[in-house]
Amino acid sequence: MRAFYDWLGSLICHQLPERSLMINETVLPVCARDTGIYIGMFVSLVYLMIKKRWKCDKPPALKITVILCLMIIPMGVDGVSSYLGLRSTTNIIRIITGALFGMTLPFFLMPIAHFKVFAINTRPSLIAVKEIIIVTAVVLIGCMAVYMGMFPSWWVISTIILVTILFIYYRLCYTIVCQVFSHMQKGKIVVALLLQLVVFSTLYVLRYYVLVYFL
Amino acid sequence: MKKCPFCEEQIEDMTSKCPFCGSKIEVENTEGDIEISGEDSQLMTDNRMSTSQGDQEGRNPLSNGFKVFITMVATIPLIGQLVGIIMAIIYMNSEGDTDRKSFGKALLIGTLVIFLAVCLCCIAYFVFVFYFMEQMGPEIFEQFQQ
Repeated sequence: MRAFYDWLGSLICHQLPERSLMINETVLPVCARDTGIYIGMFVSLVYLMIKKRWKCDKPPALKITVILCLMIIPMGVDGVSSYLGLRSTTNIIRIITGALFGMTLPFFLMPIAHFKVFAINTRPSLIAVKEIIIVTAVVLIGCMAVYMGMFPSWWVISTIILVTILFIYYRLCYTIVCQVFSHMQKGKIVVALLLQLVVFSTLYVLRYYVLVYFL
Repeated sequence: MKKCPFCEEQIEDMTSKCPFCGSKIEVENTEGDIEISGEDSQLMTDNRMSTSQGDQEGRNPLSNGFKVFITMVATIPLIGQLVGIIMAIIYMNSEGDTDRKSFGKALLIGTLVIFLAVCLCCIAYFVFVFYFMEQMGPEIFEQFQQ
């Protein structure tokens, strides 16, 4: 089972041990940055579920969108500057910047699939700035707990990460299917799952038949 | 406080535009009853179809060249994608303008796909750099850094 977790993480992450976190002396299936990203996404998705906005159809207002975009910038700066060799970074910075990036995406991704072009959209994913503060606080507490090894179970964190990975890629495929096949009444979920299978198959080929020659 | 007649969210008494759904609201009499402007009255249907008159008056549709330009800007890593998200949100919140809403929706989907693709490409970039570091030796890596 753990081999399956590691295999799934290898499709979307480089899994370098020195850039990954450990729980109970076991390396997580993705690197520190990806751990932060998917923890952030998970917390945002849970927040939408708790607030009963799972079927939201309206993206956040412009002011909230700008704030969310500002939260994306730290990960971009950290990643680009470290890849270009301009500065060195650490796992704590990677997980925090990744979490700030990850928590913003569900608030944009979830409303798109139900967004109506020819009717009024009335259910925004985020309403007030204070909601961003609440979600950010929870995300940062969760990331610090993972970084400091305070989570008792490797399986819990790994399952959260991998379920979030699968759901986010499914949701993106579902959104594309809703956009392209807007007149299809039934079967969108099945087509989305097939598209997701194609995506992961492509990632598998790239990872194990192309990039493997360079490792 | 009063209820918006379209989305039924609680809004301020004197507001003329609902902050949640963006619908125009007129307050006319002193008892605080909500009256809907004439061009918006047709929105009071079960289907809640958007009006095509009041909001689109004097508003030209986006040109194809502008749409292509914004889409190309959105492919630039990080900065372009942030611009793409903000532009998409602006257009998606243009209730009553189906052209802008449709383009905004497609732009946001494309930007999110490019975001994920860039994150995955970072893995490939990392692998290539490590490969060349090992193969070509530290001298080449120093030249690469310069």
